[in-house]
Amino acid sequence: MSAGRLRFVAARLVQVLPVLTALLLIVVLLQQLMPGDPARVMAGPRATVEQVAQVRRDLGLDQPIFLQFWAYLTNLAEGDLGRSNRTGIPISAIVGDRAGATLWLMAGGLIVSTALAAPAALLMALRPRSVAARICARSLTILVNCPPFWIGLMLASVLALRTGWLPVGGFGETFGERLRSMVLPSLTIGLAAMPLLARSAAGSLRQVLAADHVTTARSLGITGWPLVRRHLLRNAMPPAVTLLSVQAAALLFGAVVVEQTFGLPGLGAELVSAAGQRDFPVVQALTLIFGCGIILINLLADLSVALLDPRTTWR
Amino acid sequence: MRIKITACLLLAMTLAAGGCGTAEPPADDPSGRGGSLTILRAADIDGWDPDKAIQLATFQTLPQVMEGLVRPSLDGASIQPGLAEKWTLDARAKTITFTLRKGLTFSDGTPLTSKDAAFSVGLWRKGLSMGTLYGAITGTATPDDRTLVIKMKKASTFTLAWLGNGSSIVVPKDFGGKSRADFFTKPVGAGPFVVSSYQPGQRLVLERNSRYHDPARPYLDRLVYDVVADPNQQLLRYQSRQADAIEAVPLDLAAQIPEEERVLVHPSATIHGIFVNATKAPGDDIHFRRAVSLAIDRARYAQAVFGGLAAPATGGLPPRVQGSVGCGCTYETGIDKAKAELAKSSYRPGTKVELVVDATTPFSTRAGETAAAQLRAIGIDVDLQKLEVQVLVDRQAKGAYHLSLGEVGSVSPTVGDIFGLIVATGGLYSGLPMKTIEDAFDRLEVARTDEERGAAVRVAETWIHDNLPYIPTAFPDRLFAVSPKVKGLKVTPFLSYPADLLQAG
Repeated sequence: MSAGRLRFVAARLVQVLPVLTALLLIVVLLQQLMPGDPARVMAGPRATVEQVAQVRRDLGLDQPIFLQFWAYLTNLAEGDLGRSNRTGIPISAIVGDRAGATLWLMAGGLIVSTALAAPAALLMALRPRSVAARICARSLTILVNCPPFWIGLMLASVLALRTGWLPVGGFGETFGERLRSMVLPSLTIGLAAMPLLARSAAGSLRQVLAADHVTTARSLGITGWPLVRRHLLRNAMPPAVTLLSVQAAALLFGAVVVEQTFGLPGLGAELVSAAGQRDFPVVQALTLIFGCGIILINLLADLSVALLDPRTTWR
Repeated sequence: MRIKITACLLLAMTLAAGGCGTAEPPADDPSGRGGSLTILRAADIDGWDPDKAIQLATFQTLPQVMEGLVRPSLDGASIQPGLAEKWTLDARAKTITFTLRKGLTFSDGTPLTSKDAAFSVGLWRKGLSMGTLYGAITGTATPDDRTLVIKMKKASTFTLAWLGNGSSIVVPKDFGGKSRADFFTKPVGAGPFVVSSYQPGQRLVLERNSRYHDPARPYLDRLVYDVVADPNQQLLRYQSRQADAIEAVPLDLAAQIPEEERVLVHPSATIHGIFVNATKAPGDDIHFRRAVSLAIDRARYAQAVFGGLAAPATGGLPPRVQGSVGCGCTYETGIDKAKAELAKSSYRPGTKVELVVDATTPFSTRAGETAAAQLRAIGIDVDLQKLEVQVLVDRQAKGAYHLSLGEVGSVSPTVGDIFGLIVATGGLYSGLPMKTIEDAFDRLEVARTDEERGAAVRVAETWIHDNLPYIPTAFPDRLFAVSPKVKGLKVTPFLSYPADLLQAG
């Protein structure tokens, strides 16, 4: 790897630090910023003002914010995400329990969106005036305006309820059940994410198609799949990787909606539930995990681009 | 009792009488034993610690695993034996002597004795949330392994009925040597089921307790509760028969359930009403509160908000539980009278009145819009604010509102638990002094006949009618969706059902 690319990688790694610090600060401030009193929720409707105050003390909510921040960092450094206020269960156990559904969903969504977006992008880039490309472009316009929960409900109604081929929701218990139960959520999240990916990829491909080296290749008689493989995809790859990272981040947030729609016991559904019940330790931990997930995805994408594109350097 | 902020969930506890919903006749025939059922619920239990019980699901589920001394009768009108096979009140009704069934054991095989029951009574009394409802109890005695004597400072008949609620459960003495937190992570009880697996917020799997005192029950081998928050997803799973029943179908979706698969609790022991902040203007003015009450056309409100699946409120306390006698007075409706009352009040036209409602369900927002429209019709300038539910609760607790919509429901066979909640929350957050209600509760607590109970409740009802700490608007129904596979479901007016009598057909 060249010195310029190494500088790029090092700089990106250093950039992560302030972002992480800001994320941690936001996570701790969440408790102060979100309306609603967790102590009141925990104490119940019959609790007196004194009892609510006692619960607040027990939760450490009466401490100054910097002490809360320090305590959070200290616990985090020891690998302790805390316990759920609601159930008393360690948050690490909750995350372990729930991460599976979210990872299945993200993987499924990425596979579906990529598998659908790649041929659509190639079609729209290589045969922009064909009937198929026009139908594809119109379909994408319609699809991009469909909210994921609606797509999910329609798929469940048509492909599961009427045929009984697939479960309408839930996560199943065995590997086979889980595979079947993930078909509709993956299709939903994949279809919701695909239009943007397809259009952006088609745009990148068109740019590469217009590049001098492609014109030269064509003039040398290179056409069809050899042209696509050797000259188009390779050069369109860096922007595609960046797009894919954006896509993965979108899938992570899309998971929150789709998990609710299909009743999947994932991290997104847990986040919604915990936020609704003011279970702040869980909200904080999941916000941190989601935030770190986004940072990691972006970092990996940038590093991949650095590896794929020899022109990458840090200026 | 339960407080429901508009259509969503919310808080907590109390008991019952009256009619109930039924899918099939109770399953007395054990020939249909075995099988498994899956029931959907919108919210998970609040955990296994009874003092954290807030959701209806908690009151329903805890005694399935940790049975109490008594349980509600099938019609919810009284109590019947649970772990105790009989009980006697002494002549002055100041002690209750329970006789436990012979040979009781916890599900782990440990014998269950009166010492365990006495420990449990102590646990109930010390409860942060519901301890006050056991306030009459002063102590216990255990003359032998099968006899538990509960001593009371006064002749509390309420206490006996209250013990039928789902949070009065029996646990091993000293939690079987564990810490409280550890015990309630993996609870052991003497109920008809044992916890096979529990994933909070997702799924609870109960299996038959082979050591249950009645060898014929439960009829089911396995009972699964799936937590599904999204109503559409609930409906899809039910329609595809991934689930056999839905515990409480949002009334918006009632039309989606075939007539023959509906179990309707009409009405449930629940009050839907407008809570008033009476600590500040304009709610501090009785004329304003009367104007609000007169403005609400309860019949139209019940139709518009609940699609007719509710009865117009005729009192301020839940119907169909022990002690429910109604108001004996009338909650009138009339735009002209409402305008006249409003004119007498300190309210000045154009002054914004905040009406806060739960924004999380279409039902609750529709209730807010309906109430706002009826109040605007008499000239109140309503600022309808749709809030996330915890924000709403927080604002209520802090008095940062003028009007809000909410629900309060019994969770036991007596109306007394609602009294407790009303007193504890300062008249459902009105801020009005609750002396009359407290006194009425004292009378209700020691009432020994229906007449005495009725007289005590009528005092409270009359005071609520005259002072309007909240404006009762409707007694909503509750709808259970039950597939033909499910037999033996019988739901009390306070929405509990004995799961050990369910059968998978």
